[in-house]
Amino acid sequence: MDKNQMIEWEIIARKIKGEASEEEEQIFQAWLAEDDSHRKYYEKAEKAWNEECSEPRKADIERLIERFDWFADRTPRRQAPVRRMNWSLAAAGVAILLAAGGILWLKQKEVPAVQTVAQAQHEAIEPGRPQARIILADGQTVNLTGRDSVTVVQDKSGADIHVGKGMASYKSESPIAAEQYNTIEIPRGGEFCLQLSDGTMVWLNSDTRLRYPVAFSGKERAVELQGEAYFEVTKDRAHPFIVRTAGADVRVYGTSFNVNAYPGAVQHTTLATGSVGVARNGREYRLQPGQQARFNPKDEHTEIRNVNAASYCLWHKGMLIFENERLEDIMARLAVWYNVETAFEAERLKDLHFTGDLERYADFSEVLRMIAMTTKVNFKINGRQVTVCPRE
Amino acid sequence: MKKPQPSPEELKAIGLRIKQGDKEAFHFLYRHYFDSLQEYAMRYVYDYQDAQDIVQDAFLSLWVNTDQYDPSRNIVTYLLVIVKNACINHLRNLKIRDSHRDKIVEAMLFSNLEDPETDPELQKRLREVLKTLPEKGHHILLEHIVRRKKISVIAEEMGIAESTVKTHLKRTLKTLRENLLFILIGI
Repeated sequence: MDKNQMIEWEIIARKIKGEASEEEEQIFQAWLAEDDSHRKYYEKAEKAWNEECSEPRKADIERLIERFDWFADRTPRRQAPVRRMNWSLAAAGVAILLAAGGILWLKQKEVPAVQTVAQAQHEAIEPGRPQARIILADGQTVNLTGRDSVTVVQDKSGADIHVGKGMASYKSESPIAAEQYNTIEIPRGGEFCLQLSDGTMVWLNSDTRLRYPVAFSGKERAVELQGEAYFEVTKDRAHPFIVRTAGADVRVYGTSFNVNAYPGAVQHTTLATGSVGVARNGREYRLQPGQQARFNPKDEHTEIRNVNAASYCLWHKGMLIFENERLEDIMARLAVWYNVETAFEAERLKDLHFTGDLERYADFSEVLRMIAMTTKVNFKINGRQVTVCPRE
Repeated sequence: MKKPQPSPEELKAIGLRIKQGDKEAFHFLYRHYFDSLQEYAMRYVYDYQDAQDIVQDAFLSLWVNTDQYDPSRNIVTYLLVIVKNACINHLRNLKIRDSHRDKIVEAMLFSNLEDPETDPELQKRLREVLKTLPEKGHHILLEHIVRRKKISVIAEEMGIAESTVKTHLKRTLKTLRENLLFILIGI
């Protein structure tokens, strides 16, 4: 049978009813032999067509709704028309949401926190959005825009990657012989959600790479991370889950946690629930929920400290939470997400601290205005260059 | 528990709320139409889980792409089109083509979901098949397959014996099987 030739459903139906002609039988057999999935489909079709009556199976609608809500809470809707605020409008004072203890609405008029240097109109700097590319075992790449319709990509290794709507998940019906690796890369201004073959969920932040086997085999489930990701690991005591970074190995005992490992910067692992061990140079630090292991590649110093885990873990739920953090660290995080370059007019500004909950999907100008409201700074924007300057 | 079918006005209001991203409106559609849509997909893919995934994906896709939805269109029809396209894709991956569009008719018959946007010729074929179905048969088929009622429940509601319900059902399925092929291709 020609590789691209399709069979008419009608021929399959005739076959089921035992009415296929000789010619149809030949076409049918060729199709059937072509792929195991064809045979499985035929068996199911035959059963469905010949079934007299079976007791109905009721779908668990409430559970499906729960899953829908879970998805909806994490996935922004695309809205028409696309929001294009210009800076003059942005500065005119839009209501912004501030969550500090409770939720209060502030009408913001007086603080001209955001200035544009050039007179030309600027397009609003929009937050990141789902985008990624996956490098398959054979070196081919699949670009994911986050707008993909739901499709299945087949890796040469035999794994099926279900792709669509800002998420990719691995399913393989037949076992995969040797350990085959895929790599997912998220650019600056991107994010993506990945479900590994064992069901573990990984939210990948901007400018991040994760290398992982398409199916786990062997004693350990190991992945390699550069950048930032939040993990919800499927429990499997017999097969510990390990996140390898340049600085350390994070050994997981069934849990959710955040790993931040951008090259050159202080790397930190924050535990939300469960238990993880951070191993470095043969020493393992066991973390309790709410604890963070920090490794500074400059002085090779490792430290364990108590933190508000939410501020490091909730980015995957659309929140940017800063708890008394240095402005330099904050700007570094924002730069990756909004894909901008940042600079400071004075060194001392880097050490200013800011506390606040921000909306991760908000316009960049809104985020900056929030910071300027409680910190003595102004922001100058020129194209994609943002400069922090003092405000007296 | 019998859920009354929403009126056209009610569906119009639901459509507007869907457009605004109202999750409650999505929940409403889940409770009223998920089973039927799953049955529709089932007649393409013949796999319970695949059918469920296709419908679930359709809902998620609708959530993300509400910008594409025109609320003057019937929201159920709109969902049905998303599901139908996913089903056709599923068949394409199995290298199956449905040039005569028999599957659409089969799916509409078994799910009781009519797609008013299909062409008149297809609807004529649908009615043609419906005409051949034995009396009471189609009603029982839908109660059983779409509303997922047990044979015993249908028997009690109709005030007839369980064995009679089974006979009706068998006869209807047999007629359907014969005529789906005969009538559809014959016309």
